[in-house]
Amino acid sequence: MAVKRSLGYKVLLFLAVSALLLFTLFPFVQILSTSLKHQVDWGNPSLIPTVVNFEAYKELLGLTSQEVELPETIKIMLQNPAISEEQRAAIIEKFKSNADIFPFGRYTLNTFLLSMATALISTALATFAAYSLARLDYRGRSIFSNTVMFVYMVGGVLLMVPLYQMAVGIGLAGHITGTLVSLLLIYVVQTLPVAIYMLGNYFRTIPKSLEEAAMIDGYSRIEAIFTIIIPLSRPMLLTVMFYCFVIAWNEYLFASVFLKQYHDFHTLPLALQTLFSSKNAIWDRIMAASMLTLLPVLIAFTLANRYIASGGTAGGVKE
Amino acid sequence: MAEVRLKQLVKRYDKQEIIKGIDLHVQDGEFVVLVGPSGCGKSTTLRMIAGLEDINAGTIEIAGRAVNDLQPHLRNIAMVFQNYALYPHKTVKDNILFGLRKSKVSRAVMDDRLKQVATMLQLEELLNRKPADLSGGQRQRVAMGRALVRDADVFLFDEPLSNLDAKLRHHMRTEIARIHQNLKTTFIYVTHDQVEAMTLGDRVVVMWDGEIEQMGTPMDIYLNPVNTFVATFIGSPSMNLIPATYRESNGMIVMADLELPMELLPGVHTANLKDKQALYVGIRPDFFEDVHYASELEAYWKLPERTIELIEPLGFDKEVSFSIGDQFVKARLDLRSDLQAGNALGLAVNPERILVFDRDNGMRVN
Amino acid sequence: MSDRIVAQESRLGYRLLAPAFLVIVLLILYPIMFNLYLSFFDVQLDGNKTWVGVSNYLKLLSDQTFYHSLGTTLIYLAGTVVGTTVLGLAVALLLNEEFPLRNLVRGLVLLPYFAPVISVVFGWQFIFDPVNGIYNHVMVEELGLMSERQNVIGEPDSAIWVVIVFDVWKHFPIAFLLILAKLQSIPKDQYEAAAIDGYSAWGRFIHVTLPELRFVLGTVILLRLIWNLNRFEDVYLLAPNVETLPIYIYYRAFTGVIDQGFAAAVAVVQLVFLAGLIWLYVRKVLKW
Repeated sequence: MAVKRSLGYKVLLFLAVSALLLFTLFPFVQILSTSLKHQVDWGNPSLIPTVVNFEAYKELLGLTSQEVELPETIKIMLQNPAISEEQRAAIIEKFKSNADIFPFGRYTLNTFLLSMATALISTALATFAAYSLARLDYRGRSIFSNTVMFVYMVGGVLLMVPLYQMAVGIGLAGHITGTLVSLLLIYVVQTLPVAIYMLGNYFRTIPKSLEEAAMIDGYSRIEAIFTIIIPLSRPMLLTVMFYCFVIAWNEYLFASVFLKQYHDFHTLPLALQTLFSSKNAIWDRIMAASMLTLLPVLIAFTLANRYIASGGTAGGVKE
Repeated sequence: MAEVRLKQLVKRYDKQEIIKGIDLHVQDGEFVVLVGPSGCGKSTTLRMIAGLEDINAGTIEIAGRAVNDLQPHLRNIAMVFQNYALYPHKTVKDNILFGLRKSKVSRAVMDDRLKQVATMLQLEELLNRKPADLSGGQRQRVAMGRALVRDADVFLFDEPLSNLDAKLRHHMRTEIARIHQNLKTTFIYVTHDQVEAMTLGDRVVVMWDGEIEQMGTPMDIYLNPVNTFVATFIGSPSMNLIPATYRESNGMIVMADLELPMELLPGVHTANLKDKQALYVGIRPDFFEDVHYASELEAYWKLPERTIELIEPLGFDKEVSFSIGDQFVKARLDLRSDLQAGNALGLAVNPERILVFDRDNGMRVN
Repeated sequence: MSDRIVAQESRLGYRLLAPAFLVIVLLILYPIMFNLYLSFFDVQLDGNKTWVGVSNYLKLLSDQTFYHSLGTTLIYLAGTVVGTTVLGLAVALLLNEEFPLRNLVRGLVLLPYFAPVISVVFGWQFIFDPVNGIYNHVMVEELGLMSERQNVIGEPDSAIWVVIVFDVWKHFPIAFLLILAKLQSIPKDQYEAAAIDGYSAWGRFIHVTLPELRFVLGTVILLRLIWNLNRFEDVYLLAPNVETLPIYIYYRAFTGVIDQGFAAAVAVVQLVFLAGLIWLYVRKVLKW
């Protein structure tokens, strides 16, 4: 309503919004601040580091020029002019990789690949299932639809024991390939219901007449899905992929159950938890790792957000 | 180009019949308009022809072949949707060519047709835009273009102009009539607007409640409606229906204080009427004439003078209201009649334009 | 007959649904049943099983820690549901007011919801760290509310409050989003009519806003209950000593003295609670 607001109202509004932002953003600022502080500075309540320290980031990203302790014999061997530069580098690398560092890159890659695969497979399966539930008519459709709604709400913790026992039962848990396949399948099914749900709701907002027009134009329904529905849903498909990606990126429960003994294949949540509980006084590294884990999600969110804003069906149908 | 035949077509939703067994034969190259109030089943009929609704009984033939079992994409039809249904992610050009791409015509033919359609519908400037960047009228033209570019057997139009404002609608109506005159292909056009139906159709099919009430040329339907539904639905302002009774003793149709001699009316067989039978006398407002200017007054039925109760000026015409008994009646007179409310009004009607209906079942009796 | 077209469409429907549904049946519906089956066995990690009848359930009923876990779960659910709903509503009302940079603020507020748990829990750990954390600094040195620094997360009784605050912080944005969407859909003329009828801002909130929000608030509350009953990561990673039901199940299934049959039995109990909530959701929310 076009009422002139008083000064008191404005001050109150400003204070409330400031308090809200402080509450929401403070933890992020705290993480960023601590990730840049030297150990001596941790207890300092000020958020601004007395000296900015990038060591934690450098170490996680493998940018530190690590002092490689080479045995004398190797040093002598390296001085041999017969050895080429590549061979020399390879030998030094060998000693470097044995150094006790936290392989953040490796964990990130593990998590990224697993999350990406989950997002792709889940979104693909969900697209067809959601289209079927939203648009096609057949017996039992509402039962299928309700089942998806139900399993959407069944938490992973209820399936933990049976899924583990199933993996053991068919011998998938015994080796790393089987374990990864099991885990990927579990991530897919953990994200599938939400993906079907979101996409189903989205498809229902697309006017039926668009597919009808395509069919009149000579395309079969399945062709209409590929030429009209999927291109038109790109923003939503990306959003759904983002959700699936984040769910997988976050997942700790099944990763901890299935990957415990395969250290090289740890995902970030598992690795960070291990790092956190195994060593003391490494706040800068943990906070830097937190920031780096947050980053891809932030980027993905910004991208997906832009797509959502661009709007899907606007304009094609009369408002 | 092809003819379309509907035979005993039935559509049910939850056991309720929406289309109650209709028969229709659309000739090759004919422009047929299905018209009726909303819910009469005209759009459903069109969507059944397109294959977008399944058929519960009866057959549809296009170009002599039964298409009941064919999915829409195999029927070789083109359609303009009420909401246009343009593909939002495709440019105007790609929207128009989408159907041709599938039918695998050569590049040259495609360009040629696109150019033809774009010129015909004045779309040249818009080809690279997306639907969101177009005005309502432009979107409508693109929707038309998408249909017309195809070499379809039948062109279907589902209320294509209902989302346009009055001026644009009138303009596009003329355009569509012109396009059909040039193309001479089979058009089936659905509308609830009787003016569109009258102006566009070679033949008009009036539907009501899942049935065909009447089909015929626009003039036939205007002048000779078979029942009160068609009589009042077609024509604006609507036909006056004046309650009346037949008096056998002197062969008069009595409307309150008025008496209309039966012998004036052509085609009414008194044998079909019973004494005191309840009737409606139907007279279109357009067919009243001011006695001062009436052309052939001798043969006309002259009403005793009425008092004007209301005048609604429309420019060239004016609608003049008066009463016959309790019934409000409208007459449309032109500029020449310089009248005011309260004035006495002398009117006459060509008896050939007077229709008589049975009041119980609404059917024509003359 | 064109029943053929209808049949073709149905077949396509089944075919498109089949792959996803098969995965769901295989990896959710079957495991739910299998879990019920396992709850009657003594189950080893390597898959060996011995039939024990209902003894897992009897053990459960006599287990003090189970009741303690139920209590913890109830406190957690009550605290988080009230917290997220109230804060979500307050923030929605606040950010529905007009002020400069409102869209930016609306975007920033969503950050906790979209940030991965793993990237924020340790920040929260740090805030409550007894040695370096800002919480102890403010409470002890600045305000003097506590006489000495405490390990807030280390003690289960205080840790649950940190877990609740963390959950509210992380999940109020989704409540905010749902409520704001509804707020924006309330027609302005309703407020104008109420204002003309002489209602003050508070009166308009009570008589116009709240009735319109009833449905969405119901949705928010039920969904929070359902999700938080399932919640594992947020609690376990922040404070592994706060034993809500999911964490209780996890410990029995995979740590210490492993007893997977027993864990399966607890999962069955939790599923019963969950099914009740889902039933309420379907009946009350989806049909409202």
